[in-house]
Amino acid sequence: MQGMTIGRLIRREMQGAKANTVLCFTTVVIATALLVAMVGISRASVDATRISMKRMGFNLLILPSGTDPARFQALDFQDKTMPEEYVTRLATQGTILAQHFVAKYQKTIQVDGCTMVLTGVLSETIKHDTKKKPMDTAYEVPEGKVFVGSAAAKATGVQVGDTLTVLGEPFEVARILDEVGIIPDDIRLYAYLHDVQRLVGAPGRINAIDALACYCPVAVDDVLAALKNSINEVLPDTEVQPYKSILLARQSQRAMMYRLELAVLAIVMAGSAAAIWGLTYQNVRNRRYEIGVLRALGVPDRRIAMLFVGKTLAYSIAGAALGCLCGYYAAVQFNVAERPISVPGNVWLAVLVATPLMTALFALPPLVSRLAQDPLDVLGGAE
Amino acid sequence: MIRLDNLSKHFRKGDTVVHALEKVSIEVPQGQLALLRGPSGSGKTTIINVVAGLTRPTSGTVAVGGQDLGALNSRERTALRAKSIAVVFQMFHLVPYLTTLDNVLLPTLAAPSADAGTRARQLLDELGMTPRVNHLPRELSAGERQRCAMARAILNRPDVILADEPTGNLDEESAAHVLGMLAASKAEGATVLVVSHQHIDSIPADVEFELRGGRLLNGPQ
Repeated sequence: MQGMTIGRLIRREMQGAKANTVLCFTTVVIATALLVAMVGISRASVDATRISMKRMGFNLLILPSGTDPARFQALDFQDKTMPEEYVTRLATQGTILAQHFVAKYQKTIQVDGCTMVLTGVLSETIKHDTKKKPMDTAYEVPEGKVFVGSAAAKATGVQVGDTLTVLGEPFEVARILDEVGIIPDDIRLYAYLHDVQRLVGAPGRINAIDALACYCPVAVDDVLAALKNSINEVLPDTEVQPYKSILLARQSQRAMMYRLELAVLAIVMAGSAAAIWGLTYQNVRNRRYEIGVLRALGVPDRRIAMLFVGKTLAYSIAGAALGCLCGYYAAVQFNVAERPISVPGNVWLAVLVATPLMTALFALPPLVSRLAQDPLDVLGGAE
Repeated sequence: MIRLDNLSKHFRKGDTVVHALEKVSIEVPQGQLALLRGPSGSGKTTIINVVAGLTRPTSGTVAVGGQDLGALNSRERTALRAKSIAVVFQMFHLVPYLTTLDNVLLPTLAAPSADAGTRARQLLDELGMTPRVNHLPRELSAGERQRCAMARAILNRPDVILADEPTGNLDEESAAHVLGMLAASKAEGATVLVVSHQHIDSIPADVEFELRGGRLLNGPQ
């Protein structure tokens, strides 16, 4: 043995002050576990809210200019049309504050004595710069086949595999859709867009585009105005009709979830930081005598600082690593959202790096204060 | 060499200013052993603390090995202690979580030495502490703690040794060991200042001083 080293002194102190070391370590574990768990749970909740809001369906309708909205709502689709390529134009414009575009041609028709809304759809056109999953309410109908709404299927008695004659042309029933409870969706007869265009004699034409407004964390009226402007800049001869209740619900719900996530994280971070600070401060304060002894023996301030910072780094690195694992496990166990727990890589990294750094930083002010005093003042006593 | 010129140290305790030392001048030549006597509260420990650079005098100058402590900043005084000055504290000031051996080795944090381990064990053996090397301070008697503090002070062969009541807690045999070590250090060339509330017959002091109420009663005897 050649002499005393910082590492050996740290080990001896940790062994000698087991209760303090365990308390410091446990505090870091709990603090980081809470943080990771809350990030995981709140992220999953935000994601679940996003998915849930998306399931509410499209919240924008883009119509040809001059369409009477009242007649449109009454399923009188008139003869106003616009070019099918409009949908591609919207999808390729980065400035549009909407995504998930579905080109439609709709016409109210009679099939076997029942009123149905023949709806020609093209598979969803997604903005070129995103990797979004298609909407649940967007259907991709193969050529020569139809999807029949639940009420329409009930009225006509058709089954999957039956043939349905639409405007004089036979189509195979490929799917009976689940009941939505909304007219006209339950009386829709979905077909491939180009089949419908051919049947109605309007090749290359559509009379509606469904779209989903992007989520923007600002007031709904501002979003609407910005949306209309962005679409009209690209397609001046169209009108934008929002489904305002859906849009409002989506905007406010998602904004609330983001605010909730921020608030929870801020509270957890502040609480964790306060707990770590308190304990670290107390730890250094309680060891003032030791600081005095070391200084009296001529140990340089730098080495004394290494002793304290070394100990805080040792327990905070180990504590943060264990805290991350515990936090993830807790998040999985207490996940309330129907989404898997996913903690982003940068959060892991931030917790693993920032916690030890922050803990070491917290140790410095009381340490520097002790080191600035005369050793005798720290040791106490003078005859 | 230790030299104090007109050294005064005052400090405040509540509303009262305590004059711990008043214009004290002492000189202990290099390689000599000085005994500073005085009753409790006479300022003996304050002299030790000032000479060790643990606290600053109110006025006057202190020089150790020709180095004026007043001209040194805190870091330089710490470095001087690491290199040249060792203190045997009256209250021992052992680190509570370290064993006897580790406490003796503590000065090597400031001034590493290749043979520290061997020398520490040897010193502890000479002081009759071998059975206690792995014991914590709380498991030692006052006399054993004093011997541990003594071994720690002389581990790095300092130029100046300041011993505050080094035999106050020891039985005759242990006291003889400690005083023998101080004498050996002096023989190796160290300057030693021992403060005590009583006269120590067995210490081979080259020079003696007496302190009362913070003032030196007499010059060198």
